[in-house]
Amino acid sequence: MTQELDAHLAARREALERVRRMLVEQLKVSLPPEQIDLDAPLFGTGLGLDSIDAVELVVAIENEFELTLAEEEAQPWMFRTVHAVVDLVLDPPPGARAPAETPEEAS
Amino acid sequence: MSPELEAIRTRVGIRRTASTQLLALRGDDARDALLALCPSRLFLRDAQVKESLLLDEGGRPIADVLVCADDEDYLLMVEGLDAAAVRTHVETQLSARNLSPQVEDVGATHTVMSLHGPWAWQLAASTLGDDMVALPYLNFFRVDAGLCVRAGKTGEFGYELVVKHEAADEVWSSLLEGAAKLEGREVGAEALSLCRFESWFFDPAHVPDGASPLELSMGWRLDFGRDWVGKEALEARRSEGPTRRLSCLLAPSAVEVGAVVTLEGDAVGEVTRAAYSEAREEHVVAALVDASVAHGGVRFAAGEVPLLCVAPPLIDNHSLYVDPRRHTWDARDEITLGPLARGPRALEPV
Repeated sequence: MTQELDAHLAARREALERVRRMLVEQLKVSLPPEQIDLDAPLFGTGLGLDSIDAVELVVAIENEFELTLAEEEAQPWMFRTVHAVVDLVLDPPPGARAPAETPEEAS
Repeated sequence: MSPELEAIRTRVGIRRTASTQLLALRGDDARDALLALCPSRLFLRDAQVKESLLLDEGGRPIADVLVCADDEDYLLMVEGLDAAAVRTHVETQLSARNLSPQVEDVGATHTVMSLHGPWAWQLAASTLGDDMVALPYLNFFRVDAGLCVRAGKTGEFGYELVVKHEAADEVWSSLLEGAAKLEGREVGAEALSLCRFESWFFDPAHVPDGASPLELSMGWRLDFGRDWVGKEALEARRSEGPTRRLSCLLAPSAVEVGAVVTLEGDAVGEVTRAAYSEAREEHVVAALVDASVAHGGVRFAAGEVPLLCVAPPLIDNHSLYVDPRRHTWDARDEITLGPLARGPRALEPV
């Protein structure tokens, strides 16, 4: 396996684990994290989240992954499945990721 | 897009079907029978609906089921088996468990019509009454002609009408007339199946050989806290973890079902379904792939055809932007809708 593929898979697996943990700990999904299927729907059917959970999901993603999801950029399909959320946190819309701190700000 | 696909994706498509079997479980053993037959978590209040499955003893899905809680009884809307096969499965499994509910073939007295599309709710309301606008997802309302169940399978608003035979022709005529006013039309099974595939809904007509709900990302339909048909086989599989996963792939050209899926030259899976998506103008492929590499963004191949693994659904459904409480067909221009295709595109051939 090439280094590039290896790194891609490692990043996907880590993001998936964090999304699963977030769903269990913050959204109270009543399944062990490892049993949350990658392509399981999040809302209505599937993991059974509702419209109130939708707001909490956005807040949880923002906190867990240090993103800011502007309303006009947060499209419904970005939250349809666990897999879609993994895509979102690894490749967020432009402007969602806080600019990296400069060395001066960090010190 | 073909007129049928366009109706489902942008207006409303209707279908009168004989392929959904209707079975009611009644009497003292009804709940125990339901729990033995259907593996999902089934804590239902009256008029609530839940998606479930019928599994064989090996844990393979043989039918897609909507369970409707009708007071103390349960109506099962079953897709994937014919009436005789459903009856044989139910009788065999219940007899083995000494359960004897009354099993009624509701299909003998009722027929099923379905509505799909961003404006399906408006057609349901104009045909059955304005209350339909308030019908929540996975619930049903009782109507004069039977039941109206809200349960889409295409990513769009969806309704299944269970209509008494004596009222069926009149309801169907009303649906045709109402659909025409919304520039909708009657649609066939093939168009619905493709829309279902694009939106990555389970389709019992396309279960890959040897796949269980675990490989199909349907672990959420299994309640391992109690007994059901197929549980023993799946428990063993669950403890080991699925080694393959049904993955959604995009291809720039056609691939054959059965084609070997490779990753950097190594065989890692097999194509189980492939179809051209007119909405995306590219090919959508399902493949059972080694779970360790079945992740979004991974670039597989089938022969010379590059395959990109993506997160379904593949359609940005217009139904997500149409709000029955605010919008109407006549004022549809007020809604800003983007393209139907969403997410990454298929890779160009190398």
